[in-house]
Amino acid sequence: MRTSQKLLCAVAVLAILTGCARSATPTTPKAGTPPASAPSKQNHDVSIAMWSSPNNFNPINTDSSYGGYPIGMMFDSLATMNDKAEFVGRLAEKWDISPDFTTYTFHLNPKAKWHDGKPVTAKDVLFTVNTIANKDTVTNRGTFVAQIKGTDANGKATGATVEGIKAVDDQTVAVTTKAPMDPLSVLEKFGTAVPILPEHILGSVPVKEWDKNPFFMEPKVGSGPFKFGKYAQGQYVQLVRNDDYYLGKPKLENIYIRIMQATSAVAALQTGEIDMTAGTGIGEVPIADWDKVQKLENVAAVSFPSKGYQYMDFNHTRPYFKDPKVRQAFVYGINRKLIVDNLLKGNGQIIEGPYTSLYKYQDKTLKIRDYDQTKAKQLLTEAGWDFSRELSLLVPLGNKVREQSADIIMANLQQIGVKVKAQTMDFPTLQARRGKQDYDLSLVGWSDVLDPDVSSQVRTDAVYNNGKYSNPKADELLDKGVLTAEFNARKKIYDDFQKLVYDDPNFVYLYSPNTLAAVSKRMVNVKQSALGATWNIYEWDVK
Amino acid sequence: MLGYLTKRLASAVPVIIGVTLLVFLMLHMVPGDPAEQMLGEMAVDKTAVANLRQQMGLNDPLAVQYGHFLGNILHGNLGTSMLAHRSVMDMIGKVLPSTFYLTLAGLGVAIVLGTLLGIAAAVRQNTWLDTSSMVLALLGVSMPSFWLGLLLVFTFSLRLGWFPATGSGGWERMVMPAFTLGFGAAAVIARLVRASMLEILRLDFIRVARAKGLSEHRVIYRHALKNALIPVLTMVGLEFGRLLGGTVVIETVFARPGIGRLIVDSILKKDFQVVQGAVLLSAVFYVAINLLVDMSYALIDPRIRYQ
Repeated sequence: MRTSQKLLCAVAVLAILTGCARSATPTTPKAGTPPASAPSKQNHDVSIAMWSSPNNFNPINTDSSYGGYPIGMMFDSLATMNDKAEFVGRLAEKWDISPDFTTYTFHLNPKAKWHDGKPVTAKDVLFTVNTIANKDTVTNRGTFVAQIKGTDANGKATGATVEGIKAVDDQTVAVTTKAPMDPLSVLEKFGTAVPILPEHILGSVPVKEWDKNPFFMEPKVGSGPFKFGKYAQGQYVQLVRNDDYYLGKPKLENIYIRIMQATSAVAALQTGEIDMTAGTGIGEVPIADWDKVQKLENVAAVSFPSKGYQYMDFNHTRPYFKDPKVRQAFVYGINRKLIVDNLLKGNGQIIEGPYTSLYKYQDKTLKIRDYDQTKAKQLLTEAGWDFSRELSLLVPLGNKVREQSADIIMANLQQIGVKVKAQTMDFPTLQARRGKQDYDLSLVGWSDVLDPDVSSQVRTDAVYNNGKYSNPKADELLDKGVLTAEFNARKKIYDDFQKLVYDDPNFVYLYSPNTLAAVSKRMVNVKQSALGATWNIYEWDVK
Repeated sequence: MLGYLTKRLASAVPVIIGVTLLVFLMLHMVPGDPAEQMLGEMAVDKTAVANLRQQMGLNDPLAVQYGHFLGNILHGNLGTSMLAHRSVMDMIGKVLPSTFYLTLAGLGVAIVLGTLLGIAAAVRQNTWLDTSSMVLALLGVSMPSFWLGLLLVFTFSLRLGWFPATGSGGWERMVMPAFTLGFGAAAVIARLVRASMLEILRLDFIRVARAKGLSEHRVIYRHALKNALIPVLTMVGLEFGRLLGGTVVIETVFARPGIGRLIVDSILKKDFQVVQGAVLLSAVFYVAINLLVDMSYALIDPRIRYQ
């Protein structure tokens, strides 16, 4: 009995400690601590938190976010984009662009080697493009080679091989585009988003068998600054230093990409179990934890503008949305500033078109429309709005800020006399409803490349134009924009396009949330933006 | 005993078949086309969608598809993940040990803590010990496990720095998850042991044991406790299944790998083959464990006979 009493006391003490411990000094584990089941910790190791596990390690068919993150450290592309959105060389040390903007010649870095010591050559680049363009290949990189001559709109070869890519010599590749192309577009898509594959390893594997090939479970031969170490399912991906990296030996020894929920990551950041969050879309600090993370002494909290934005979509097949004044009234009638200030705690920007401040093509002359209920009511009256009509607003689950913004939007619209009933649902259900035009309004998000072409969303009958917006003038401008290469001429076209959707809104562009990231103060040389942080990962170090 | 076992096994069959049917229908109840769901952004390519539908056998009648599904299960094939392109069995096999150890550790915490609290409360009935044990038990029953988990992380990781907040491997990463998982079940067991002990301590054979001059320690642990454990055993069986389900939350809070997190992750990514396999396997475990518990009654109490 005495024993049981003692144990009971121990339990009671434990329970009390749970609630009351405050004064004890924390003895936090040393930063960079990898999972206990991983190899023993070295001083030059870092752990990065990512919210979900990678689907697979197929460089041309993994999910572009969670899988793409480790792939980007193991497989280099021809170029990459730095924190200032400038293109810098990777496997290609430089490139020439023909005066007519149709031929792009990439000169490979002669020092570039695969992880098994074999040189990276022009043949590997051709192999990669021809594999993506092979009609039997399952890949999500198709759109990134679709500008090359000899491919269709999905990036599949129209002949036996892709006509527009040639090896000039072992170290030089010439790419011919279907039409004159803006260098920004070619370099961003083909240059930075196509990881080059090793022909000497994969050339003999029929593409139909790629899914089952062990290489894509453990891609041991890449060309990036880090090599594949281990994947502990649901726990972490371990990447080890490539001592022979052609841009210099990386300073870190091991990188552990740890899979954990955002809520756990905040505690792990504080204890030093993780050193940073993975970044836009895959490892952002939740806005609810932002104040807390900002107060952490061992962590730098960074907020930067992103490419992504949220919008309210109209079902343009409804006759009552036909008059642009109605849609303009919705823009004036929603207090977007309140959403940014309160829900995003100021970490965001209001936008008036599909380009955020990160885009060189954003028309900065367009005035951000202030919240103006009187103007909204006036526009609705002018358009002969039926104030007894009730609209459906579809709200997808999964993004807390967006869910909360729905309440503000409903209240605001109610105040200008528009009756709205929100329906919350999972994203597939919402998409199915949008696909059938069975809705009035919906809240959705979008994030794209920095190239300004938004045809897939805005052009009449385009694949992502769920609301069936149609404006022949917008179609004309978008078609012209794609075929124009020179920056100033192209900028003029997209400025005109933005003015057009400003007056004849396809959506209510709501806000662009900032990317919220956290980096341990023990890390140095991490230069990140919403475009990513890993572009100079070989230079990262720890104090 | 053998007859009872056969009867129990036979009754488990419709349960398992019911589960396979539910799990199978799940894929077809999801809004939209499963092939389009799986292709995601690539679903724009209608040929790819048609190919995948063919590959998944979605063009066959529903009954035929269910037949294939059952046939594959009988061959130990739970399918292939559409996203990872790996065998579902292999993916589950990789994380199952972690969930299993966590459940066992949680159950250990529940049994030890629950039994000790229950005994203490019973033998010191109506004293401060009894009251505080039962208050603790009430706390355990009412407290959501994710909240307890976060409290433990706050106290023992962030304030005291005793244990790592996340990850798996090593006993120090097991303490907090096991306690979080087992605390609720410990509370249930404590209340049950207390009630059971109170009833038994009033019986004649205990009076006899005391009259014989046996030490109180011996009376409680050798005579009373053994008899009080029968109802507890039933509860342990039920709790084991509950704990297995509870690992979903614990694995998420403590960033541990496991079948619960695999299911949640797969649901979020719409990798339904994995969800199907993992849910099915969990159901089979649950049925098997309950059967084992029922069978073990005879070991504790030889008076129980199976018919």
